[in-house]
Amino acid sequence: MAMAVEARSLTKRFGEFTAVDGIDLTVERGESFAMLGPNGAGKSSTMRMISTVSPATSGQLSVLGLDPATDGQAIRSRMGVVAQDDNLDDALTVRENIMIYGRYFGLSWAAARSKADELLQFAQLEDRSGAQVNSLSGGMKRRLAIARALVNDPDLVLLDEPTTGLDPQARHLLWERLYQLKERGVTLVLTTHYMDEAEQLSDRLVVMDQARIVAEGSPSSLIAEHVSKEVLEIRYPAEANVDLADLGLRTEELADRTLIYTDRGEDTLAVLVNSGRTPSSSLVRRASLEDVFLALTGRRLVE
Amino acid sequence: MTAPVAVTGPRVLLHFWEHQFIRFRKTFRSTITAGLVGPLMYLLGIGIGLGTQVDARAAELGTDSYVDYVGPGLMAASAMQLAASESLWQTGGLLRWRGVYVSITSTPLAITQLFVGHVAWIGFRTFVSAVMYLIVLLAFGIVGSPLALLAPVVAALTGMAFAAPISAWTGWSMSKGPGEQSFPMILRLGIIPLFLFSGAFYPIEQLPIVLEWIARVVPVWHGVELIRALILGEGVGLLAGLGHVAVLLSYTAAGIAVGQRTFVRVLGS
Repeated sequence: MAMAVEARSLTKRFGEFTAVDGIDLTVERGESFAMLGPNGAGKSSTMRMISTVSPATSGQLSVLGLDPATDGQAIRSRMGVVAQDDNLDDALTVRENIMIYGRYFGLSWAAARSKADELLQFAQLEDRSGAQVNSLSGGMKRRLAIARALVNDPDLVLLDEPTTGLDPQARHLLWERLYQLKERGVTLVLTTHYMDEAEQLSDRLVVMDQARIVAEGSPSSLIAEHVSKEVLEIRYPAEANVDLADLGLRTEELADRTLIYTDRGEDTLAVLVNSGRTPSSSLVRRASLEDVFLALTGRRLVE
Repeated sequence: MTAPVAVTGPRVLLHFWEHQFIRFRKTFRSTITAGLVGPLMYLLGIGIGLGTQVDARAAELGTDSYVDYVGPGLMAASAMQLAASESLWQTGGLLRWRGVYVSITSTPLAITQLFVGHVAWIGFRTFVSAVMYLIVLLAFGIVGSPLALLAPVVAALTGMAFAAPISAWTGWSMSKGPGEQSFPMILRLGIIPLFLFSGAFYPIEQLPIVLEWIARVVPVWHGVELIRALILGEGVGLLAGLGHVAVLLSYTAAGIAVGQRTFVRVLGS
């Protein structure tokens, strides 16, 4: 079976501005794939090309084995898209939003009704079925947008920043639902600028920055490859001028603290304390994709 | 996973109209009320009210009374007005603020098909309002021919002749242009003058020659003339009738050709 997504030298320009600069990527069937990067990295433009609404400026792109330029209709009939702004129809009820969307995909009214029941349950919105969309919370709206995108039993689901703007509780509920989809074998492609989201949901990811892919791999392999196992975060009083060069470890100076990449954080901290450089505060944590991004680009994901 | 559902070809347009109809149905009662009150006001205020002052010379207009003249003409002019406002704020909302059309771009419906469906839907909207206009005209005893049943169809054509180019503008202005700030200007400097100079209130031959020719070039007068002839049963030459229809269809076709591009630009770039 063809790959879910295959791109070669994929490029998108808007006039002089290059939004996506010749990227290569492959998403296999059943895989959960994330594009991680800061705002403006080119993730959404890539998503819009995959979703067939935005034509590529150059390069090759194949989605579910078809060409978005010529087979857009066939691709869209097998795909679900969750946009950043939900784009629900506020003139319709929660249930109608799913049913009427399903009709576009050729569902009979009976099929649309039973599909809506099933998806309302999946999205935990059964008790809001007759409600107006505007009465829903942000998390509920997002779950409804996801339910609506599943109405055609898609082979591939695209999610653009699925949890941006949601509170932690709503995010966790959403992650749990998306994880369930992944378990069912649905291919997921999502963009995010939250490293924890990419770690939670993706089997494999690309890190994007300034229209290019700067790294690719599984969350754990990226961490192993680009940063140490642990990170020691330390703070010194502003006037202190502490030299850490003798540690022989990679360090990163942030505005409010210093990161030391080490395989054994507690041991490194002990070295500092024993040599009279006790920080005013310290924290040892697991290295994350945030550190990978920082190591690769010298900048943080979410400023 | 179940087998992929294949929806191809223009059949998916039916689902677009179904969707629009279900949205429309939610406001049906207020649409009916507004659709009847509007023409009632015009016919009482202008037809009867102003008519008392000008009925003596109605014969010059070729009718028994002024209300007979102005009533049918206003059906066409109102179709233009309705189509214009649907093509501005309503369309801007569907494209941007409410994102309804944005979500449709993820269905099998192509953006170019969406634009055709959109214009045809506004045509249907004007048809429904024109039917209510016709009911009011019937109540006033203004209808003089069974051909009047065709008048709402012509009103729909008139509506589309404006809906297509104005929606094309809305698509452009929402992507690159001035956006909704331009809408009141289009209404005040475009649609309201056209309403007044449409030939609904008096023959356009009364206008200064430049305005008369503008009126002849713009589609609304063609709708006014044809609808008036159909409703009053005064007959219109086959050639002239076809000419009017051809003008209305040309504006629609040209507007669709441009609008498909501007919608692709605003929804899919």
